[in-house]
Amino acid sequence: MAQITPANAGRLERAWLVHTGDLPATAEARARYGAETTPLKVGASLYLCTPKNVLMALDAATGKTRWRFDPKVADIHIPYTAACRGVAYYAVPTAHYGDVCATRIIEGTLDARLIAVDAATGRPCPDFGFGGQVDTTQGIGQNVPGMFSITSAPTIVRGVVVTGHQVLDGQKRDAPSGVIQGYDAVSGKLVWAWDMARPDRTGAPPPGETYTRGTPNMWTTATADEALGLVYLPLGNAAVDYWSGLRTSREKANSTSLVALDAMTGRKVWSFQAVHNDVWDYDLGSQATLVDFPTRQGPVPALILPSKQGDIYILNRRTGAPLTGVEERRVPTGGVEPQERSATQPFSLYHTLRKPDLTERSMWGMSPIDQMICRIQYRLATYKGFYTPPETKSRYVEYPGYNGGSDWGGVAVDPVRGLIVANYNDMPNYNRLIPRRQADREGWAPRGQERGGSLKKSAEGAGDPQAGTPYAIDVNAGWRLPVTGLLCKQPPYGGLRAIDLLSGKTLWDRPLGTARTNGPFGIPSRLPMTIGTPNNGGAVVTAGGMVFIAATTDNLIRAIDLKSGRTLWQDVLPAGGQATPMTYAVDGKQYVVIMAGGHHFMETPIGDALVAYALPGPAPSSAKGANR
Amino acid sequence: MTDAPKISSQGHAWFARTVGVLLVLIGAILAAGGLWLALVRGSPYYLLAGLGLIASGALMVRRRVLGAWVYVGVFAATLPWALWESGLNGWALIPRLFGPFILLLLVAACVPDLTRDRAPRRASLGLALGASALMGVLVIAVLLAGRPPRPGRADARSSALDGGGGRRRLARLWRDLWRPALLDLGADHPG
Repeated sequence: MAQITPANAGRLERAWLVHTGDLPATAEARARYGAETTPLKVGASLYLCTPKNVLMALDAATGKTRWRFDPKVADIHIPYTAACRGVAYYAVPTAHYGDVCATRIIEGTLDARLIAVDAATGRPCPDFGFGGQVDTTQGIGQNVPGMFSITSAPTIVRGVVVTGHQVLDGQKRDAPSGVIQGYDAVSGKLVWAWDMARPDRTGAPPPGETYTRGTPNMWTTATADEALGLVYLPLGNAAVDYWSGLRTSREKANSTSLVALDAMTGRKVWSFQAVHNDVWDYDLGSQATLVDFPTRQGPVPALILPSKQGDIYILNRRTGAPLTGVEERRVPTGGVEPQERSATQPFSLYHTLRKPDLTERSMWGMSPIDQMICRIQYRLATYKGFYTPPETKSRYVEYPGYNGGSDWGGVAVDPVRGLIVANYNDMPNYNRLIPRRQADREGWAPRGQERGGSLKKSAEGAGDPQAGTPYAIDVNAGWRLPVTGLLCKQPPYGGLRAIDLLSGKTLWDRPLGTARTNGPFGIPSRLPMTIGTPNNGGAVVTAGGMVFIAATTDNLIRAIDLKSGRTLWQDVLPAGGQATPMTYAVDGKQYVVIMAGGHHFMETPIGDALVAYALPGPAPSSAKGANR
Repeated sequence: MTDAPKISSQGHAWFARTVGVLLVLIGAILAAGGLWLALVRGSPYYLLAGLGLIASGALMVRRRVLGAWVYVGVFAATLPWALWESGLNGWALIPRLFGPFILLLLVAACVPDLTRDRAPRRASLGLALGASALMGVLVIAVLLAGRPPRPGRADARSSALDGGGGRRRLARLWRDLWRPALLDLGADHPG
């Protein structure tokens, strides 16, 4: 993709815009929407899913809808976010051209089904499961809507569809299992299931039993390694996030770890742990990116693993051994479970997106008064720096907060220039463990047991019950003051950085996002100044030397010069751009496509538009066929 | 800014007294919160500034022009404090200086209300203009300091994984003081 370059990016314009038609029907659903989808381009079609899992195929050049398939997911199944991050494509190797479902689109739904439809027609694949569907809740046991969902694209390795689940965080210790399942991409039959607490089993549990409950889950996207036959799973945490005393040793061994499974058998090959006994919700949210990493012994098949705490690791794909330095360093101890806390945590010597610890001076506001209140809050809170253990006697500061560092947008890699482009968040959380009795008084109850509606409107962790443990958790995400809604930490809240792949050195680093739609009391300031906003969704880098990224809370998509980090072009999206853009060429013309669906947690406007950008005019004939 | 609303006669000085009440109110909030902050080992600035504002406001309510000069003193101390705390980090300077600067203009506008003497009235006009010019210079300095670094120049601050040895932290502070990559206005102007 080299047609759009820093020389002509300023001339980008909208090529087309389509509405998916999937908008929230109720205010409750609106407070849970976030279309985080990145379309897949195969042949001349774009394939995507909407927040509630409607599958669509579009003409990649015009955006015209080719087909649509609605699996009918009810609002009650929305977990934390109605997100469908993407779909998978599979070409059946034994099929003949024109066979039904010779090529198929496979997605996971919020109500935990796998759906396979014919890529050509959008009709369900009759040979896949029952009428094109597989119910992945088989063997899960007790479950309520919204507790056990699929929000990321399944990963297909050597004909096996691998999926994890988003098990809703913070509800109860007795949560559904984090089991990873592999299904046959043709028949939809269960090939294996990896239940980390039962390494003796590789299939479904016998009748009357369930997959081990409460184990660490994978809500984000796994990475396929077709060559080695492995699948790399960025795992989250055991239930619940902020209390570790009830976790089993097998859970502790695998939580907040990247686990490599043999995609054919579901057997664990290796794992790499980014946080020991995580009580900060630093679950691995970013997909790992495959690279050939240069070493003295020649290029090694490796992967880049970003993390919420900001550290970036380079691991050998065969063994899981770090190829760059990782050091165990002493971290603060204490908190409510001092005996549980690890004395050390791994620190990457290669690179971190994390900034130095906060000080009282980092406190902010719009006037000396609110700044002073934040400073008092800072002094009253327990804060021992990075990895401050959870507290109940006072608020405690978690920095970086659970939104990263790097979250589900992951990093973008330019393998030719040898660059990593990473967007990141730079915000604290202001938390407190709430004793059970007080939480009960507040009426905090797990999903499915609440009085009144079951769709909470607040950010994750803002009053999560953690039933079955001594404490609930109250997270003030971003550490914001009531009334003004401003964050107590001074800007920037997010940035974009280019990193030299070989050395891990920063090439440029800049705040990302303007203040135009942000301001005190929720009033847009309309200031076009760069402040560095929270961001969710990743970047894409191209051979033309461009970075395309939206992600920020200002609803802008930008074209950024990969060399300098300067914004060369931008456009206002019809809604929040909390999705990773993608780029492709049709008949020699390059397009950049982004889902502008908005996001409840980023507090951006919800929408249903998929927007495509391109340079004006027909494709230059000389460029035809020249694009990769 | 000496064109204070002519709603009051110099005898009553309603405008100045209203500003005085405002200063006392803000000062009381800052002093109370600042005392709390100082007691939990935080910065003493807010307590001191709050006491200054109360004194200045109380004097102005009593129609003493000295109240205006007390506020000028508070502002004159606030400016170097803000720069010492935040360097040329534009966003960090906003809560520290923007409100106090607006109050300074209000206070300067009160001076004609508080005295018939020419010298202080002229001084207040000069003060308002001088402070405005100073803020203008500061804004330009912030913008210059916030220009994005040249490509290829690695930012040691971000790649440093150090826990922060004293000297390195000082160096970082020094660097932040002069080159915070915050307000890169230039970077978001397309084309």
